[in-house]
Amino acid sequence: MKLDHFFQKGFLSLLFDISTSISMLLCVCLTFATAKSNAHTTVSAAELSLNPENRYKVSGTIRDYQTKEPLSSVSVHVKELKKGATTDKNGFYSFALPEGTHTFVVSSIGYKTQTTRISIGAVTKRDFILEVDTLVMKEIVVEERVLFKEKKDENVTRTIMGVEKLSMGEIKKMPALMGEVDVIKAIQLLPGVQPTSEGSSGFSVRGGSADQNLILLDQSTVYNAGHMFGFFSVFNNDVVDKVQLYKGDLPMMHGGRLSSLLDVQLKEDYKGKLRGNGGLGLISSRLMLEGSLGEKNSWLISGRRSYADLFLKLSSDKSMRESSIYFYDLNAKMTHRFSPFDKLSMNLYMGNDNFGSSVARFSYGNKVGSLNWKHIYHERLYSNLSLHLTDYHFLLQSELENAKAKWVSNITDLTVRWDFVRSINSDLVLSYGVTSTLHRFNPGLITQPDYDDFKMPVNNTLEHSLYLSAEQEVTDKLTMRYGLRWGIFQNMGSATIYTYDKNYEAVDSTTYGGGKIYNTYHALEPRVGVVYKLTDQSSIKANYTRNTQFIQLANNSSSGSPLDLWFPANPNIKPQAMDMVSAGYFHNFNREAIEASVEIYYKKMSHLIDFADHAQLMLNRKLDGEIRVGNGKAYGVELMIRKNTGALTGFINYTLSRSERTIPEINKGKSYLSPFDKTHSVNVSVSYALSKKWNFSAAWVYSTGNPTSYPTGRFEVEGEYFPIYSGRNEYRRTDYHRLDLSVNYVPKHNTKRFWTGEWNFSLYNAYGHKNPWIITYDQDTPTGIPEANMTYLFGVVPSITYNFTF
Amino acid sequence: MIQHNLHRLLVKTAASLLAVGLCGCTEKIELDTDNAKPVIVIYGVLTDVPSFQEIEISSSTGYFNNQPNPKISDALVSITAEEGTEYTLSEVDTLPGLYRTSVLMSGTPGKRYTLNVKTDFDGDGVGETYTAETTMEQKIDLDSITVTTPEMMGYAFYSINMYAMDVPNKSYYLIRYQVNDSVYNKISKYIVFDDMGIEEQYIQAASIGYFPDVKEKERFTEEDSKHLTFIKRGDTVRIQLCSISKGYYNFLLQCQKEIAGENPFFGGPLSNVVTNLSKGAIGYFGSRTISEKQHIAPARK
Repeated sequence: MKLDHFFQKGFLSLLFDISTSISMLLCVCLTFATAKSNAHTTVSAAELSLNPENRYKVSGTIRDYQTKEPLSSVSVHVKELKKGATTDKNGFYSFALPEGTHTFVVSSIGYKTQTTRISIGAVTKRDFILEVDTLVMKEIVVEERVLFKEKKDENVTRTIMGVEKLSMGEIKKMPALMGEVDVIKAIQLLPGVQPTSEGSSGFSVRGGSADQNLILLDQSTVYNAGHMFGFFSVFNNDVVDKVQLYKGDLPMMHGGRLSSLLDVQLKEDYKGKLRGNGGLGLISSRLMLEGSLGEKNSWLISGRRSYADLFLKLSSDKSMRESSIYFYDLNAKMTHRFSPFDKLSMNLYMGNDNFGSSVARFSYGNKVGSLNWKHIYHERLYSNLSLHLTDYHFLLQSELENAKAKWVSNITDLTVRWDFVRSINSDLVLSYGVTSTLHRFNPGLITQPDYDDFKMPVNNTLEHSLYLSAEQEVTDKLTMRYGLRWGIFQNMGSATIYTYDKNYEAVDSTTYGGGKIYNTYHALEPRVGVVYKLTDQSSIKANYTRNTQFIQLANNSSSGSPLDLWFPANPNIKPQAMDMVSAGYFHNFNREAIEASVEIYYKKMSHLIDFADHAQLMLNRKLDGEIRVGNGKAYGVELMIRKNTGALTGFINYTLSRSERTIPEINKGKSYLSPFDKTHSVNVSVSYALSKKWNFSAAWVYSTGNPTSYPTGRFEVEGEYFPIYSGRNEYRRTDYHRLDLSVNYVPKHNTKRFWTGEWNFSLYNAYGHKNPWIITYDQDTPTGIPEANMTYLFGVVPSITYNFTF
Repeated sequence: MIQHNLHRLLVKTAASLLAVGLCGCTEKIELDTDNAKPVIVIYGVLTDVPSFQEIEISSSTGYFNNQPNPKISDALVSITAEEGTEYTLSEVDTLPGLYRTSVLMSGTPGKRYTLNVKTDFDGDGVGETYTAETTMEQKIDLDSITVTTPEMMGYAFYSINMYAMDVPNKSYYLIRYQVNDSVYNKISKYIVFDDMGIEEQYIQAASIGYFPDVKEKERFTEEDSKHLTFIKRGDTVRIQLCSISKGYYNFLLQCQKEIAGENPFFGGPLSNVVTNLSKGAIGYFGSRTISEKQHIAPARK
């Protein structure tokens, strides 16, 4: 049956059409959800240097006017001396100043800047209270950096390259598909990042595939970040604080993926009266509440659920009432402070998608939980010990008469990690740690009432790492980051490993007993980065990084699917590796208001995995026989200009790139383009605050069409035509472009009100460009000659959302 | 079997999502593609039933070429059995490109057969010989079939159910069906599955497909109807259960996957269909054993 026939609202779509769900209550009872706080304090180097003669230490805490919360990353600048400091996690700043009267300029994104003249004559303590700058919306960026000092000029000074940061305030202003603010869709606007297909939560970083991205929700792995076959992401924007994407050069504490790390950080613990926010949208509604319990405890709980199906509960059609289609997310977080030096937090996330009817059910989702203990030994040393549990599962069940079956599959990880950060002196910060993960892969257990169970073997593996990294200011102008990560990967019995002949037919097998380690891989990953400051506003950077990937997805579809089957390296499959070098020039203008950068990269991948033509990836005990291994390379240039302050904010970027693979048994050994190769890509995202009430945003996306294969010939069998291809990915689809618009309207703008509401109106694909999603062929034509059909997913999609804060 | 069932389900689930949530509009487009150099296409499937066995020979052409694929006439075609018996196939006068044995011939399970086609396809004045081999699989007996009348999602269907004993060794199934005089003998209509999940077990009333009742016809769009087979009470449903080789099974599955182009969630990269022919020819020379049963569609309960 051809898929395009289902697109029409014909019979088969009705089979699974929207309707009621009865499981909502159950789900709510069952769960709570996640996220782990990655909690490290930045020990400011400035804090550690105390005053020599006739210099006085000035210090204090900077708090939010309304919440009284300490504010981190606030810049305290002394105008006359062109000297400054940044507040740490506890809102604390400190520096030494000569005697005299100085002008203090205290500023932070989202707050009104304060300018005060202060005379310094003795040890001075000076606190500040900052008021939210309503013009820039309520964008309180509670920055907390893991290893590296976060500064306003980090575009120029940061030693890691290829890092992209978006704050939730920025993301919320971007126009969103069906009004669902989505962090993954937002990062797809960044240079070097592309969606794997239209509307997908899968993304490709610098030409890599979607499974080469490590996605962390407060440091816990999330295996599948998509709802509704990927059209929405699992991250509820109410609880996300900010997202950072590392495009290959990963912080040393992380590894295990070739292309990128997407670090999604949830809101920090909040101490204050109960408050919340939420929203009503076309797709889903959300509510987030947070508060504290006594002085030492804080909590957060948040939920989101799609609800189109609830309306169809009223349908007169019985089959409609019996079916369901919905997703939900639950996040919960609890924090307890034992002492000023110890914080224990627990994070939970649970999300699920459900498609059901009287004859079938399909559901999938993530469960993530973590427990973290952050301890500050002294101002120069702190650690974070954490335990993480992650599970992704799917279930497919048929209740069709004479075809009843149920397929359950999941991947579960149990991880322990202990990370340390130590400041040796103001010029040298070390970070080191150890991690250990048990992965359990369960590709499938199928139960059928009339037949024996069909069980795919469960695989267990261990993945450990040890790392040491140093960030060192060698001179005023030169900063270096260097380190080594040692990854160890072990396959554990019980298992049966087949050996294959040159035609990939299994010829022999070896069985290993339960618990026996029968294969070990070691991987050394050096990573080095250098920043040389040309001026205070500009720098050049270079780096080298090596990443190794031990587990990957058995999926070769272009858009990904919820049927995620991960499989590990083993004696037949070597770990994939990537070496990347990159260099760039970075320049800030107008006191960091405008950031510009040019980055160039080249990466080489070895033992790169692709799959045989027509590979059988599901429920295949001899999956190794479907794998083809070769090399890949990718290179490109990324240009980015970004404006962070003022009424008009946003960015524009351009990427020129290429990504290709060479695998002996694929495409007759000739190199072929990665399915995610895009020669040119332009993204523009702008937001304009017209007044306190009105904010306008637009995003425009352009990219070269995806590589694909078009048939160059046809052969006939029994009166039907079948395609012949000259090679893989030799053609491209037409170019992709799209404009999205949105307007944000706040009817009553007053931060002191109990309730603040705002309306968001958006248009996705505003000029209705028909971007091809799939190309199909139909030979049931009047002439009998095949025709090509293009399916596009979206016309102009308008939406409206109401958001509120209290 | 499992995969056959699960895949049906998945495609439907994904499709319903798209139909419900998204626009999913399809329109005709023109693709400007190169035309590959023509290659010879040879296809034939030997059966274990005494009959005039057939081989079809044609040439490939550009995918969007508005002329039918050229037939190849005047080839020398023969099938040689393992023990040396050679059967010559000659071109049917009225059907160019179709070659038939002149005598009734049947394959024997377990035996290997070799196809030889000699023709000057490349036009250099010297004939080339294209060959392929097939070994006939052990027969799997279809004990019986039933036709039942399930109602699903408010629609009336007929389900065709099979009863058979799966044989030891990995087995691959091909089912061809016929309703009254309409024979559904195109590859896109074949039902193809392997014995995963039913290995060496008795296949008990497994549904091989759901066919809507003809009374539901008006509820379908014309486009959907084109691809559906409707059944009504009193129709004679005839099923051929064939046991086929792994190679031929792969060929059929790949043909079904590739015929319509891209499949977003569950399809891999578009690729060429395998062949077992030599010298760059494409198509397949396969074999199948046949076990046949029929049943009359009953009145709805």
